[in-house]
Amino acid sequence: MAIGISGSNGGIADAYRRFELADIAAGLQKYRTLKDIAPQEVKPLYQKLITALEDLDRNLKRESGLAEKIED
Amino acid sequence: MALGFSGSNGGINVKSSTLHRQDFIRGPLEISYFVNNVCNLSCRHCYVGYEEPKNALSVEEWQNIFNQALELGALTFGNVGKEPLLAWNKSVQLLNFLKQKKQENPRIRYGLVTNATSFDDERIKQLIEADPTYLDISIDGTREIHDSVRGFGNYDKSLSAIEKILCQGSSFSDRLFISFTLMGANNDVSLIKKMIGELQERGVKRFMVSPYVVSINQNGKDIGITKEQVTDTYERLKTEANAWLGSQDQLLLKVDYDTQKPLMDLLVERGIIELGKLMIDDYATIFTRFGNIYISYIPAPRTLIRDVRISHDGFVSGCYDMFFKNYPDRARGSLKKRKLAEIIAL
Repeated sequence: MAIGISGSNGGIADAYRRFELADIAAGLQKYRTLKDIAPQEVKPLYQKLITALEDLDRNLKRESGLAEKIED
Repeated sequence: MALGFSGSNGGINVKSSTLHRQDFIRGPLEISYFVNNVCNLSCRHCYVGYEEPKNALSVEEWQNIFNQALELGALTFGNVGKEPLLAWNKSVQLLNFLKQKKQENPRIRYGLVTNATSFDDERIKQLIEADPTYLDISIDGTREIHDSVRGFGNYDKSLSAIEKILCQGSSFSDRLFISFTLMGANNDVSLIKKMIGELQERGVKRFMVSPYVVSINQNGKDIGITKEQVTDTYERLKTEANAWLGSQDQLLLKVDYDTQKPLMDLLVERGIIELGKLMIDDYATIFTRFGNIYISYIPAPRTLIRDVRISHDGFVSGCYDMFFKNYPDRARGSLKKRKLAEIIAL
């Protein structure tokens, strides 16, 4: 049986679009806000998500050359 | 749910007007459930360490759980084990329940993962009537390799079922996925090509590759594969497989966050997954695409945030926890005692 998610789920849906930095930014905003108001026991999980998004944001900017521009 | 897109080969069918920005971390929930905890095979690479076969939930209990999940925004329901055909009456009743739910909400997708060695004509007829969005059938290579992992004679049984299903259910060609576990024993691109060719001759169009994770069982130690080997193979498949695939074929290369994040990082490092070319679909699945090859990408932990694994007896946790005999001790909670909303992480 398939590990992780429930098998193929039927594969990729018919409709899709580019995944953008704005998607990550929206996620960061949301989860930083949620972490601020979350009960103490849940905060570490939100921080895990935030860290993962920050890593992705950094890597995506680096790959697209944006990181250098920002640092300038 | 069918893969593919309208029109001819090539190009991306982007219906951007339907794709609002969505929370790709949390949802929609994907429920993978075990309808039983028994199997007729003893595959060397099986990761399930939890052994208790008793105390299975009833159909009514499952329906109640599915209703709870739907209220929480779940859209995907996969019957992933242990071997659904060994609880066929329950499996098909649940497929039909989800079929009814899909009529109310067309976005719902529901399917089955099986070794397909226990299909007969009546079951195939019932399967087709249940109209699942997808059907994953496990094939681990050409006959010799498959049988070396899953037991002698099983390749032919599975192949016979595949042929009958595609013959009787022509619409299944877009939703029958061959689920191939990449491991040391079958890590040979030329044999993967040969396997795909043999299955294409029978009308198969959908292929999925998942890398093997050596489990606590350790029965499959000698068939283990390193992340470097997986990366090399994914790189070759990305480069070569489009030439083998038909215009309507699809090859999905999977990764898992919880058990394979180092692999995913290596795929990014080696440029096999290019972050600048990521796409996101209507179910918030993130991936890259190269012709007819899709590679999934998971940016953040998913267990109990998006992915919910429910054992046959109602314990809720993640896939990795099922590697262990003491799965109930590792589980987040029991649906026999609590509601799903109280158990999942966020």
